[in-house]
Amino acid sequence: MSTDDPLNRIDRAPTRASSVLALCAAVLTTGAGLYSPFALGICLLGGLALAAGLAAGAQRGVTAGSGMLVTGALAGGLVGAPVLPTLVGVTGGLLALDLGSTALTLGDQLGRAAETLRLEVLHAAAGGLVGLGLVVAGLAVHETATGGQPLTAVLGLVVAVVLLSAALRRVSPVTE
Amino acid sequence: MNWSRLLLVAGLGLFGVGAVELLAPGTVPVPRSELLVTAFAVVTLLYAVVLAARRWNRQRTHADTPDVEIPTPSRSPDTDRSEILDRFPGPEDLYGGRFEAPRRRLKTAAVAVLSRHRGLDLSVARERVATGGWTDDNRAANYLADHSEVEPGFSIHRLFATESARERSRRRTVDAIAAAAGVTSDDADTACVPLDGPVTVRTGGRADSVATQTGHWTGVSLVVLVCVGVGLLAESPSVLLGGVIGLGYAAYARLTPLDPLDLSAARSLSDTDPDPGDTVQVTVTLTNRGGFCPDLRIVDGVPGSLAVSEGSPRHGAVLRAGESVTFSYSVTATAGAHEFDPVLVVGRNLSGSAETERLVPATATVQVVPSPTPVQAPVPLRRQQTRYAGTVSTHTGGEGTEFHTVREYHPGDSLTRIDWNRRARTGELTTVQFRPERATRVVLLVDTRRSARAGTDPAAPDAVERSVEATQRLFPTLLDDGHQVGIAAFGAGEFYLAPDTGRRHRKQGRERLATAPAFNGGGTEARPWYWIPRLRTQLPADTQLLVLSPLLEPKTVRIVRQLEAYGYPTTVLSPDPTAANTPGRRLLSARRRLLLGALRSAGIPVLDWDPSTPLETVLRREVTGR
Repeated sequence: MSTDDPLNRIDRAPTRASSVLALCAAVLTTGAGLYSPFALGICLLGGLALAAGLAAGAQRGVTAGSGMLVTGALAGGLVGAPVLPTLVGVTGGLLALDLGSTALTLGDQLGRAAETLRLEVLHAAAGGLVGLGLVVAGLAVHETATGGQPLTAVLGLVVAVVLLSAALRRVSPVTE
Repeated sequence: MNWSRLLLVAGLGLFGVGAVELLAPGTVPVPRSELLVTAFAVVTLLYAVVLAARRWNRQRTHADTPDVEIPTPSRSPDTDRSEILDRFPGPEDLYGGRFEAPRRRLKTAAVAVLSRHRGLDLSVARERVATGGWTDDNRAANYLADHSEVEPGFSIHRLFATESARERSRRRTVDAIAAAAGVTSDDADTACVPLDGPVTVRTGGRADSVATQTGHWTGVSLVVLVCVGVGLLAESPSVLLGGVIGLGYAAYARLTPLDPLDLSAARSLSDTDPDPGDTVQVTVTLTNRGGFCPDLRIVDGVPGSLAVSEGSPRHGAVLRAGESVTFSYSVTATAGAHEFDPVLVVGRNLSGSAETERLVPATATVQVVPSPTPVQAPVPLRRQQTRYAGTVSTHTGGEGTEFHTVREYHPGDSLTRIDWNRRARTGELTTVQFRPERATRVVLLVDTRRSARAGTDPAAPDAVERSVEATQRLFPTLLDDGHQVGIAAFGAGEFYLAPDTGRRHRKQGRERLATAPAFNGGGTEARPWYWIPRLRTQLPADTQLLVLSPLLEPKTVRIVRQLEAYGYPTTVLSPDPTAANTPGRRLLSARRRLLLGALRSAGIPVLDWDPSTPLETVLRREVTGR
């Protein structure tokens, strides 16, 4: 990359730590997709796309790869994988998106030579903890609802989820 | 009440209803219907599709950071071939027609080059071009010939050609003209120099730190909608619950706050007054005076004239309230005054969904004054005299060492100068005259205009840097030879150091050359009608000029001839900034050669200084050539 540049500019490739962590998240999802060969195939393809995107420094590859990982996890859930692997799989896919994009922007803004490890570890830890909390919450919901499972209750909760998601899209993290 | 509040309240309300129904089924009178569930799933999926379509082209964004590690690259003058042709000196005068068609302009250029470099008469040169006998390249000859042949019809080759036939003809013609001017192409070099326009260096950093959303989590809400829609349709609890993960991350992205940054920076240098080539260690400390900053991306404002030699001026940091981070890197000192820019900090919130930029002020200056080695060669000056004894021979006879003439004896002539041999032979009493050696007054006039800031390739020093370096070396040499030497900026910047001698003057010249804004890319650019009269009021009457200019523009040639005409004997030392790896650059090189020739034919000595040749060689070549 830098050999073509007469000016010898810095290497703005994605940072190593976040790239490796993103690939770990992809491996997590692929592991959760072991329940069905179909899901596993999609996950493997997603992992490849993610790796290619990180190698080439292309956001498109990272986004597509993460999307395929999530799709793979959901496909596993559709063909009968239990709740826990599905939740872990979706979490892994979203973490891969988060960490992969972080590796890209950090690489572009600070380059590989800069010291960024502390920042990356904090970001990954925060994202991972949120994921862990969500998986536990999802499992808790599943455990409570296993009993009677009235359709109206589920529907009410689901509509609530969609409305909350729409509401969240209008919230900005930027304080005025 | 706005939409998001409404949605939030409705969502939370429904959540409560769902929870109540979950714990005590049948409390809420909602009709139990499979159809309702399916309809809702379909609506959700449709919403997902709409959202995906709307988001399709939305890019993730992040703040750009500048390329602070590298010094600002030299401009390689090659950009526009038609612009070079616009100001190609015509055969008769120095200015070609401006509004002519490309073919006509190429023709003018070809005639000009032929008449200058092959010594042809104008009419002969014109005829050669008209008949096509001026070059071996048939395509070029044909293109400029009066009865140019029609382009060949269909061919496989043309089907795959990347340029049009006409463009190809023009390129070949340009090459033929350059070859006639003695510019040889070195296409081997092409690989390492970007050919498409000037090299761009990234810039960035905004003082108005507006917080922006980065779109880091774009696509998460889509996951929620797809999970809910597909989960309901397939009646799969695992998929349905996947929506919880998506919703959780969406909340994480939206609800982690981005507080305004409150930072202070300090920068310390291991040496503020180094010599050129020394390594200076720069230590930057950034202190957080506000709340917790989970993600700070720091880029130090390395001066555009310095290159980072070791370490990185960038750092990623996490800072708690009151905490500081320190990092350091090294720069290589080059001659000049270098002022550091503010530190650019890009801050993000924990989830990375929002970003803000800030330029944190931190002042530091490095002043690098070189101790130049004087030139180990005689400086070719024009013959001229002042009252002071020196080293430049003059045209009048008198006392000295070099023989000038013999004249008849006048009473009072020194006995040592009588030609005793002739007296013995013929009995005549004659006096030998020598060339008196006198000091001159020289002003080194450095072309610092923006147009002179050009180099053979982006990484090479530009013509101004080379001129300033040469001036640093010529200045002490001329002083050593006993001349009064001054320095002035040609065209840009208010800089004038009157010709003088002495140790203090020597030190002053050295320091001001290194630190004056005019020689460091600063200073204002003045129009010739303003600065030439000003310079003339400052210059003492019997002064000669040594102009250091790349001579890229016809305008420069006119100014130099004007100065000569005003009575300042002028010599030009011209650092060559042209390369020969693209047709445009070759054409520019040919044009520069014509300009050099125009000056020489006006009786002004021009020293063409190739980047690969030491200055001494150029000077010695000129002196022995006289």
